[in-house]
Formats: sequence, structure tokens, C-alpha cells
Amino acid sequence: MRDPSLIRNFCIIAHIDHGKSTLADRFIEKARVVDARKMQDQMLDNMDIERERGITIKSQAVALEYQAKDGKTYTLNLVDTPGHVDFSYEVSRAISSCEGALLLVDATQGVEAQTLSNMYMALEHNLEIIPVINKIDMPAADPDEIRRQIKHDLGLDPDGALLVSGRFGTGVDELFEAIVQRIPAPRESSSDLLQALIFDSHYDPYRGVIVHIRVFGGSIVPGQRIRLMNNDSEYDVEETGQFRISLFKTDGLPAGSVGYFIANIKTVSDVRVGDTVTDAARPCAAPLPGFREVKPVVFSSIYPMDAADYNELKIGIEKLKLNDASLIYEKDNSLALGFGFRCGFLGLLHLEVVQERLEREYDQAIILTAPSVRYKLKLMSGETVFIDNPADYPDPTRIDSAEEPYIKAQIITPLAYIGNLITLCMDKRGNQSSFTHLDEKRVELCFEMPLAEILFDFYDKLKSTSRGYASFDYDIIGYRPTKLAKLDVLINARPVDAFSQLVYEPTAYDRAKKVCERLSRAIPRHQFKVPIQAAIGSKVIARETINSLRKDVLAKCYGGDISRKRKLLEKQKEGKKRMKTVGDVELPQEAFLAVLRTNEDEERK
Amino acid sequence: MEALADGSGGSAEAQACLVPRSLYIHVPVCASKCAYCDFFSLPAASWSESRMAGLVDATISRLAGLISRFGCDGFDTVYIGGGTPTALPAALFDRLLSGVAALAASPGEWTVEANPESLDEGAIATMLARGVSRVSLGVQSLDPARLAILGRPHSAESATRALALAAGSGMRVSADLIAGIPWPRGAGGAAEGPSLAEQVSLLLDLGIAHLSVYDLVLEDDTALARAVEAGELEVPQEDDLAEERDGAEAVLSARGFRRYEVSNYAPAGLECAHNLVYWKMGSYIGSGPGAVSTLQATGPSPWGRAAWPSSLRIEEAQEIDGYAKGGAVESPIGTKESAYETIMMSFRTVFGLDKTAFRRRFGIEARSLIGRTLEAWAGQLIETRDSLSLDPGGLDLLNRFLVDCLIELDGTFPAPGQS
Ligand SMILES: Nc1nc2c(ncn2[C@@H]2O[C@H](COP(=O)(O)OP(=O)(O)OP(=O)(O)O)[C@@H](O)[C@H]2O)c(=O)[nH]1
Ligand code: SF4
Ligand SMILES: [Mg+2]
Repeated sequence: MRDPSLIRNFCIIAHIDHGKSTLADRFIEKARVVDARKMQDQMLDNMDIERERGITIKSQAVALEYQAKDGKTYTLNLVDTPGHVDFSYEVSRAISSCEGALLLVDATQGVEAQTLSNMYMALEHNLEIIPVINKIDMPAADPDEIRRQIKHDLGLDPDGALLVSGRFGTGVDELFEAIVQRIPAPRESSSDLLQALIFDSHYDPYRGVIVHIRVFGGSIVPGQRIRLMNNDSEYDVEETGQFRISLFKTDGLPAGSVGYFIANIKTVSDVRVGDTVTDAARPCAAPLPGFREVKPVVFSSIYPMDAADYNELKIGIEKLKLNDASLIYEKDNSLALGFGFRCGFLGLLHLEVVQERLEREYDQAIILTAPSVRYKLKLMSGETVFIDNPADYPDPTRIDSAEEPYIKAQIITPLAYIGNLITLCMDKRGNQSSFTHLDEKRVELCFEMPLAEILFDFYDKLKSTSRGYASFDYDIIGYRPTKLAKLDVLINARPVDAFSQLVYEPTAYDRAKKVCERLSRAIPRHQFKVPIQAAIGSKVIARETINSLRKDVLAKCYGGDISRKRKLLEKQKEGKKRMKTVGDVELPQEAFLAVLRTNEDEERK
Repeated sequence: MEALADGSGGSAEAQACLVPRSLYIHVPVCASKCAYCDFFSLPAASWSESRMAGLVDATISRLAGLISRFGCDGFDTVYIGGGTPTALPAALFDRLLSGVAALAASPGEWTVEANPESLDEGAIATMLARGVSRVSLGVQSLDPARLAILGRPHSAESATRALALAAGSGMRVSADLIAGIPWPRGAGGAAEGPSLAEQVSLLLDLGIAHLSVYDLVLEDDTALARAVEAGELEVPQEDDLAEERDGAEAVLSARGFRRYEVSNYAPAGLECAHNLVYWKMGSYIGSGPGAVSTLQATGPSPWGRAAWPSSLRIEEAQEIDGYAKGGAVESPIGTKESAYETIMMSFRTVFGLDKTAFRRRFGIEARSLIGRTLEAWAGQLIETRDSLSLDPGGLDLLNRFLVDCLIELDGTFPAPGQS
């Protein structure tokens, strides 16, 4: 086990796309963690959705062996973090397991919104920050300007910034040295009692739960009996090791190190991210502080496509939760869909990621209901209730007033786009609260606006209106009065609770029209006409009709293709089985997605 | 459970199955490849005469083999299809027909498929000389623009000329048309060229006795599908297609042509006897690359071991030069699949499912297997003492009906050996 003075734990943080994962590739390559022929771009983005979308979703740790100029070999634990706002909980946990951070700034983009928010997070945890000006190979790179921003916007010493090209590896050797010299070694712990923080975990079908830890005190070794402090469950450690792309077995993990342990943990829910692991026989006095609580901002219910699969879905969600600490869920039920889960997410991208991971990694066919924020209702009785589920919406006559969550949006943009951005924010019911010139080219705009408006397509619109140059971050600032209505959807005269949504009343009509149109496109024709109506209370405010099916028959079927035609029908049968039957109407998964999607999504296509 | 008749392989099979009395020959040659076609056929130009001769001979000798294996004793129907049989050079066309005639003497109905560009006096004379009684002509459209979109190797004029020739020969004539042909985007296809109804009228005036009208199916990897994908062509809307067909159907029924199968029309009594064998799921044999045989067991079947297969399907190799070497794939079809196939095929026609025949073959009433579906479809179901069939509206939704049957069968079909 390595002497803690030879360990460095650091994370790479930045605004989205500033090149964190690419720089991590260079570290992995130089430290020869994997064979050269096994290298690929953004090596640590190993989930399918990360590769497809080209973004990091999960923080990933990797241990590097580095021989420094002082002749000593150091273990560097690097954590690559995501840049997208929806995954900032991943960043915050990475920060808690490190002593230092590389703060990357894209030399062509400059300081952006998450550069600031991630830096503040690192400062709160007293991390040593090394500013890195990245992508200096690009013709548009302007290191002097970035140095100025580092000083002026970030308040950091620009002389300490390193110039790097993550793509070509320029400056990476100097960066290695800077890490060793400037990032402090893990602090010596005052006691030798095991005290390790669970910062992540994942489920392996062969090995069970794999717990990711940062050891703060004592050490953890195979054979040791450990205790998970949140519920006092105890397990025997089978294996410990480091992350080296794959799991690399070690004979233990000393104080100061980052790694994993496996302990044949059967009860998945025993493992809680943020919990402290200690020795069962010689426990530490108190658990580590853990992590701040996640505050979901958008809510939706997840149901199995086939109600009989509820238990499988439950197991899938539990396992996914191991690897996604920001997912919050509780049991829910619906008249139309049976049992499911009410879930809280950190944003709509997070919701999509959860949906896709459940489908891909856990093979679940699922339906999600329309996403909603959490509203605050004052009832006539004087009572105050919070609701995020349309099913809980009280009879309107019982409601005195309604409030919805507001955010303060902070937008950094080149001057050229402010006109369009202000229009965009106003469209989203925003009120401008401040306007600051950062320098002669860039401004910071602040808007107060309803959370519900920015959840959906705001981010995409912001990017398209500013050609990708504006960046934004937000904080929730509290509740403000609103006008709320519950929009119900009736399919063939029968209300389908899963389609209900809470809407801002003045825009209810537009929303209703969109929902009906979309459903009419997503639901296949039936043998009979299917009316689709959207209503507030008993008043129908929009309506579409799906015409009856004229024809569904194989034009040709002779002696030569009986087998093929039989298989075709078997396929059609499988398709029908994947439909959700509500009344006498069959709803495909796309119908539920159609309601998930919001107003403008369509036009982007 | 009776013991299987003992003896040599061939005769055991022959005794345990419904002896085939229908025969299909596949000729995988065409003048050129049509834009919508995914059948197994190769352009004639790429063939040498000797290669084609080899294939004709191999097809005949394979036929002889199947006949002796399954103990065939004469045929009620013979169908030579393709591809385009008339695309064969005249001498080979005659060699094929005489070879078939030698093995299947005077069948009740003998059909040969032909295409307008290759149906000439010589071909007609050969057919008459060998005993062919029916010509099925691939017209597909009488609109020059649509023929071009389909990539057909003939004009509308040559189609009418070929039809007149065939009709004048005394053989019964059948023709094919295609509905719902894609049209250049935004060009308002419906307004131009003769409508489907007008084309049907023209064909009836020329004396055809049978008509097939197929809704176009865009098959993957065809030139037509690619053109649609690329946005050059657009497929008609469901409602427009229905209107097109309704118009054609009105003409047909006014002229005494009944829709007796999903896509087939004929005056009563002039239906295609060969195809009716498929739709009743009889036994038939097929020779030629890609042809298929299906043998129906009459009792416990001689094929397969663990399960109780109820039919045997033989798919001939889709190969030209290697065809003589064999390589056909034989797959036993289980009892449940076979019952499903019987339902799938029978409900295609107005004659429907023969309740008695079904009970005899599967040892169970059709109603015990698909009763719930029959209830749900009662409004479109026609039940007589002997049969179950769908009305015209039901025929148009046949896939939905069959999927319902299939789902129900999963729950109702007794385990093998139980019946
Ligand atoms: N020219 C150049 N391009 C780079 C460099 N580093 C990264 N890129 C490109 O920038 C894009 C984003 O790189 P990533 O490494 O995925 O960025 P990231 O910061 O990990 O992004 P998220 O994890 O989604 O926040 C990719 O297209 C990279 O190829 C660099 O040094 N030079
Ligand atoms: S003639 Fe028939 S088989 Fe030949 S290419 Fe055309 S559609 Fe295909
Ligand atoms: Mg990344």
C-alpha cells in the first residue's frame, strides 16, 4: 500500500465540452493504463448514451501511476466529471473525494456559466485549483484573453495557468508535474480507524454491488468485516482495488486513496451514496459529513409497459439508483397504468438518461408521464400543500392560490446576441433582474423566470439563438404566484391519467392543442374512430380525431411465402403486446413520449 | 396415436401426408429487374443459353424426384411462375413445358405466367401445344408514367397487345395490376393518366377472366423504396388508396367479378384453382430455385421427433448453378404453427376456414382455439354450417384479425400430444 504522501486525488472540472474527457485520455495514454491499441476517444465515456450524445454523464475515476521528475512514483486518482448542469451532483461528489481540481477553460470559448459554478463548488471544499487553458491548438485560441478572464472573472492567478492541448497532448507533461507539486497529498488522518466515504457505486451482474470509496482514515483490506453506518449492516470485504479502466485488484486501500470494494452485498438498498464505511469491530466515532441532499426539480412517473413487470422494474430502478445517486423515487399508482414509481430528476436531460438507462441496461419497457415541477397550493382551508403529480391536484374550488418555483437564470453571452436572448427569456415569462458588462465583448444577464419554462427546450433555444456562445446556469430562488390549471386528456372519451398535466393557465389552450395533435400522430389507427380531447374540468378545449383504419392486410400470400408471412404476423403480434391498452384503445410508447415532449421540440426536427 | 406405416422413407412419408395434387415451377428469369421487385429472379441478359438449359433440366429432374418421394399420382393444378417463364428462349420454354407435361399429364388447370414484352405468337403456340389452359399476364399498370416508375420492361401498348393475343388463343387470361403506386412528390399523381378503375375497365373489355389487384408493398432494398426514402416519390395516403381501390372494385363487381380473396377477383367458378390450394393449405410441391413445397400430415406426422410436426416445408435452394446439387432446406412445421398457417391462409378468401377439415386435421374445433377473437370480430364474421369467413371490411383488416388469433392461440393451443 502506497504512502499517502505519494497519492494525489484530483478531478477535472469545466463547462460542458471544454475538453475534460479528451484531456483524461491523454493522462490515461501517457500513464499507459491501457494498451495503445485499446485507446479510443473519450475513453471514460463508456456508456452508450454518453458516446451517442458525445457528453459525459457519469463521473469516472481512474488511477494513474506516474513517475515524477523527483524520481518518485505517485498514484494519481483522476476523476473526469460531466459538464452539463443536470449532472452537477456528479461533480459535487467527485469534488468531495479530491484535494485538487483542474479547472479547464476552452481557449476559444472562454469562461462560461458552469466554469464559474463548478469552480465555486471546488472552492467551497477548499480544493487546490489549477487553471488550465485547453484546446490551444485551435486557430481561434486566445490564451491572453483567457488569462485575463481567469483573473477578472474567476479571481484566480493567471500566472499559474497551464497551456494545454488535450487533443494533441501539448503541455500534458508539465501538467503532470504541476499536479504532483501543487495539489496537496491527502491529509494525514488523526486516527487509524477505518473511515471511508461512499461516493458512487454500481451493479455488476456477476459480482453484485461494487462500492466506490474514498478512504479518509485507516485502511480497508480483503477479509475485513465492515459496517455501513447508515443502517448498521455488516459485510465481509472480498476484494479491494483501484479503477484502471477495468477493476484492478489490490491488497488493500490505505487512507488517502480512491478505489472500490466488493463484499457480496445482496441487499442493494443497504448501499447509500454519501454513507460512511467503517470497521465493524473498531468503528470510527462518527460518520463523515456525506453529501448535500439532492433536490430534484422535475418529476415524472415511470410505469412498466406491461403492468406484470412491476417487480422487474423495481429491481431495475434499485440497481440504477446505485449508479445514479441523484435519482429519487417512490411507489406510485395510476388508474390507467397500474403500479409504478414517482421519480424526481435534476432536469429533463437527466430524465431522458434515466429512461434510456432503464431500457438499455435493465431491459425495461417503460412509460413516462408528462414531467412537472413541484407547485405550492394554498387551500381554502388555510392549509398549504406541495404537489408535483397531476393526480394529486385538488378540486379547483378548494384552491385559494397557487405558486410555482422560480429560478434566477444567469446567462453569459457575447454582446451580439443579447437582443434575441432577452426576447427568448421574455417569451419564457422571464423578468430581467440585472445586466452586467463583463468586458467590452461579453455581458452577464440575469433573469427571474419560472422553473417550468426553462426545464424543457430552453437550453437548446439558448444555444441556437446564440450560435452556441451563450451559456447559462440557474439557482432556485423560491415560489411566486401563478395561475394553474390541470389539463386532462381523454382518449375515446375515457380520461387517461398518465397524460394529465399541470399547466400555466394562460397557455393551456396552446398546450392542449399541441398535445392532441401529437397524440393523434402517435396513436395508430384503430378499427374505429378515436377521438382525442383535452379538457380542463369538464370543459373540452381541444380535440382531434384519429380516423378509423381502412386496411391492414398482406396484399400477397401464396404457397411460396407462408413461413415468411407467418413470421411477419408474429412480429406484428409482438408489437401489439408492447402497446398499453386503455379502454379499447391501444397506446404505443410513442404516445407517452409525445406528451413528454414539449412545445417547440417538434420544430427542431 | 397410430404407429407410423413402416417401410422405406419415401413411402412412409407418402402414406402419412395428404398426397400433393398441385405443382409449382419457379423460373427465376426476367427481362430486367423491376424497381419494386424483391423476388428471386435474375435478368435474362446475364445468362448463357447453356446455363439456362442446365437449370431447366435440373428443375425437371428435381420435380421427378419430388413426385416419386411423395407418391404423386397426377395433378389437378400446375402453375409455372417466376420470374418470367416467357423470358426463356423459345426452345427452352418448350423444353420446360414438355418436361412438365411428361410428368404431370393433363392437369385440370395449367397456368403459365407471362410478361407483355415476351408473350408472342410463338410462346402462345407452345403453350397451346403442351396443354396450358391459363395465362397470367403481369400488366401492373396501363399508365405509361406509372409503368416507368415501376421500372417495367414493357409499354402500356405492348400490354394490351399481349392481352389481346392471349385472349384470342382460347386460354383463360388473368392479369395483375398494382394499386397505390408512388408518384413524384407534389405532382398530384391521382389526376394524371388512366385511373385504376379505368384500367380495370380496359382489361375487362379485352376479355380477361380473372384479375389480381395488389396494393404496392415497398420492399427493403429495392430501387423504388430508395426513391421513396430519398423523397423523390411519395406513397399515396391511406384514404386516397382506399378510394382508388373502391373505384376499381365498383367496376369489377358491376361486371360480375367477385373479390374472392384479399387481392383477387373473378366471376364465380373462374377462381384460380391452383392458388385456392394454397389458401386451403393443401399439400403441394414446388421445383425450381426458391420454390417451396408444403406437405400436410393427415395424422401423426412422420417429420421431426420431439414435437408433433404437422407439416413439412421444403424450400428449394435459391441458386442457379448449384441447383442441381440440391441444398433444399426442409423444416417441420409444428402443430400449432400449422394450425395458425391454416387460419392465416383460409381467412384470406371468401370461402374461409373449413370447420370440418380443420377439426379433422387438428383434432380440435377452430372455435376452441380462437373463440374469443371470433366473438370480438362477430360484426365482420360470416359463419355458415361449414365455414368461417370475414366480410369485405374484415378482409381489409385481416392482419389485425390474425394477430388477435395469434395472441389467443398462445393461450389456447393444447400442448403436443394432448389433442
Ligand atoms: N481542437 C481541440 N479539440 C478538442 C480538444 N479537447 C477536446 N476537444 C474537442 O472538444 C469536444 C468536447 O470534448 P470532450 O473531451 O468530450 O469535452 P468534455 O469537457 O469532456 O465534455 P462533457 O463531458 O460533455 O462536459 C470534442 O469534440 C473534442 O474532440 C483540444 O485540445 N483541441
Ligand atoms: S417481372 Fe416480376 S419477377 Fe421479374 S423483376 Fe419484374 S416484378 Fe420481379
Ligand atoms: Mg466529458
